Amino acid sequence: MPFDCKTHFNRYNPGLIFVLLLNIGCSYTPEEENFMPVNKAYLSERLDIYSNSVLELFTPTTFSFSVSSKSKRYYHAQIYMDGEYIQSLSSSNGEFSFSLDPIDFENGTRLLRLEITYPSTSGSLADKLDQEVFTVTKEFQVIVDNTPPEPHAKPTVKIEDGKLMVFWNATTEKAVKSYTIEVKYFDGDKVIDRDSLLTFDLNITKLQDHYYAGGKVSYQVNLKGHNFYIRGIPEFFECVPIDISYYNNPGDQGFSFSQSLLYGQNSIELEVTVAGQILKFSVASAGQIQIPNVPFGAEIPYEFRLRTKSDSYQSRPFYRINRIANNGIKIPRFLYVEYASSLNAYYLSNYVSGAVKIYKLDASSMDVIDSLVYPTPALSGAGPLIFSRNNAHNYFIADRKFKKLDLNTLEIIGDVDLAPVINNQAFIWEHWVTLTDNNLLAFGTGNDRAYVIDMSTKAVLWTQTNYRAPSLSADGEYMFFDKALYKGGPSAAWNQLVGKISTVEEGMIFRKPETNELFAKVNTLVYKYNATSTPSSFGNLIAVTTPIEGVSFTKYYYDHHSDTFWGAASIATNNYVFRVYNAVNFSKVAEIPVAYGSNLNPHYVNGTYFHSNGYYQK
Amino acid sequence: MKFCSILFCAAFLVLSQPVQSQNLRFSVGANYGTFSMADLKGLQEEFLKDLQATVPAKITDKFPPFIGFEGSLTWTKWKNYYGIEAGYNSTAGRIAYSDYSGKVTLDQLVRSPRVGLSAAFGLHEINSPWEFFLLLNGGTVFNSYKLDFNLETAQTHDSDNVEFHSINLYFSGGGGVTRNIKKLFINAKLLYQKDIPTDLKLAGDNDATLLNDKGDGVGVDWSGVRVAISGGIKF
Repeated sequence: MPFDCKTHFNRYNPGLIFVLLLNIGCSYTPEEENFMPVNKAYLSERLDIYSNSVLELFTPTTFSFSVSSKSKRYYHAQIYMDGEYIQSLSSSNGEFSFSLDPIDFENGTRLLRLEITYPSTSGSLADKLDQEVFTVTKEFQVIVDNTPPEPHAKPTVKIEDGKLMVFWNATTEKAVKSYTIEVKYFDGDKVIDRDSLLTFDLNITKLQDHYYAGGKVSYQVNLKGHNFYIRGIPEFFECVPIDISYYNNPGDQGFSFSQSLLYGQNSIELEVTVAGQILKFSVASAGQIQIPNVPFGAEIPYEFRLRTKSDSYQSRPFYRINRIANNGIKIPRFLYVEYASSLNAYYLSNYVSGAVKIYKLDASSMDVIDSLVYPTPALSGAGPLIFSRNNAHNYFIADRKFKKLDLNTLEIIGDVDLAPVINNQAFIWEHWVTLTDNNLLAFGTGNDRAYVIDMSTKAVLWTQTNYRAPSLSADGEYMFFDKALYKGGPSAAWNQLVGKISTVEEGMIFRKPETNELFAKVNTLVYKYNATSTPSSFGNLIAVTTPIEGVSFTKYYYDHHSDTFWGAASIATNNYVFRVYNAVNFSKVAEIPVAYGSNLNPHYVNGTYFHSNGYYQK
Repeated sequence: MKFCSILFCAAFLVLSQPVQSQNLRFSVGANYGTFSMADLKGLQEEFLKDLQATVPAKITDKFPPFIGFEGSLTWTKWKNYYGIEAGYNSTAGRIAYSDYSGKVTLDQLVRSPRVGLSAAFGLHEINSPWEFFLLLNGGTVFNSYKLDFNLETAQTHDSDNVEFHSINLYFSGGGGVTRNIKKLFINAKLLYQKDIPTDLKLAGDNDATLLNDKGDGVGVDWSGVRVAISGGIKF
């Protein structure tokens, strides 16, 4: 007990002085206390947190809880897992949240303990010093599972109400956070496009692929969690979503298409590309596309596809017809065509890939019934066919020789080498190079010489320096050359007859034995020679009425099998017609649009239209 | 404090010696007075303000008047006395708060011995039964100022203190009366003391000065009225 000076001095004491001296250290000592009545606080708060004492932790999870009384100055919480400190939290309003990531723990059942402390707020000294705090503790069992799920099963893909629908089962894996529906579009086995749909709504179990427009496609459901991405098992689906049919009637050809299986896919449409022009149609109904005025022999590319209306999305063709021709039926491409009446067969020849190819077609069925492949260097002039009218003499050119051809067996039965005869000059092939029934050949060469050669003896019967080619009548008796008509024969000299065409130079001669008339067809004019003696002496030239329409070129050729002459004419820029005239009365047999140009040549042989692009038309 | 103890012990020893002359007087006594302590009171208010930010503390002691001790040894010449005097005074301030959970106190303890010269000018002949005189004193006060902080809760028993020192000059004047009874006498005085304080320095470090919130130095000011009574013996 401290010494109370006042008490001591209030009394008289004989030893006062002595005590004073002894207690010289007696000093004022404050002893009053300012005691404040403060009500003591008691723990009354409640911890609001999950009532379930077992929590599942499959994915990073945020836990929230609160202290019911929110009037405290602060709140602290400490989180422990299996007794091991994890983290501390602070709050000013008693609300807490914290996250746990399952990858931080091993699989199994863990004990989660929350310790929440907060001041009593009694106002006492200890409270103000944060020494008077209450602690609330709660424990939970936490089931941790980090095992990734198995790949999701194949979805179901089908068309419903014209819509491509994908269905899948909702996953039961709780760790899954989202689905990714992965779509791959194929062209054959090659993936040409891919897409994916991400959804966090795990209750979604179907989708419509608005962009599916036919073809092969696969869908798979990929599962994504915090620490895994499991690709699902793909389901493949393929369909031709629309029926396309091609029709070809005289003067009317085109395509018909049905209502698409995908009529409910509002985001797609039928797109037809024809000769560079793009046409679009609704897929919800059937329709027809008429293709007018396709030139004979032309091959016009067509492409059908269902595509999305958005240009930004890759569309997929589902149907293609590469090329169609107007009324044409496909046969092998060719450059030359001849007809053998005795065998009722057509012969086509071409030079392709280092070989002369000859096809024999049945003239009735137009089926290829035989073929010959004769490898030969790509020498100029390889491939042409030339048959005599009576088919007694038939050749094709290869190795710069005339190969004798057995039309029945398509075997080579010999050859005629004219090179030494014509001084190794190039053989200039023209259609009016003629081979007569008696095996006389009229042609021109690269050194501007014209020849008539007896192919049996290789004897030069007639020759002249001129770049123009001669033309022989099928019987071998007359020749038209350089505006003039010649009379000749196997052993006779070739004599120019009277009469000469004034303005034209080349032409094909044709003779009508039944009328004993002789004509020379030169460009668009036909010239008739009157007989000056019977039966076969012609000399007086008479120009017949111009029978042939046409502007500008082109050469017309005589087909003695059908007694017609034919040729292509340009009637406008890039617009050609193929005309066939009756050689008896000069009436026009037919006129059809035709593709004309380099290696795009029409022919008319024995009543059948041919086009070198590989088409025929009866 | 130790100095004061030595001084009074010396006086006691003197009293026990044979007396040779009645021109020498020795007296000891007690005084009671008021203390200005302006700076320290201001500082206490600052402390209070700081503490009240936490708890509703109050000032329970504000440097109250308190009993001091003094003694003197004088010689007579004609009607006057001349000599030396010494004394000791103390007071304190306290800020306190307590409740059921604990208590906190902040004490400002001031202890100050002093020594000085004393002169008394008598109005009567020496050794008259009653002597009235005027007093004039001056000297040095050796101040000790101790800040003592105590905190006690269930979890904490914290005690801390820091001590400062300073030296004042003081002057005092007043009057008194003495009743002579043979060789003994009783003396009563009424004085007013005026201090010239200096700034308190941290004990052991004269470069550290105690400052208030305004940044001014703080000193101990004992200025105030003193009433003293003492008894003595003449030699």
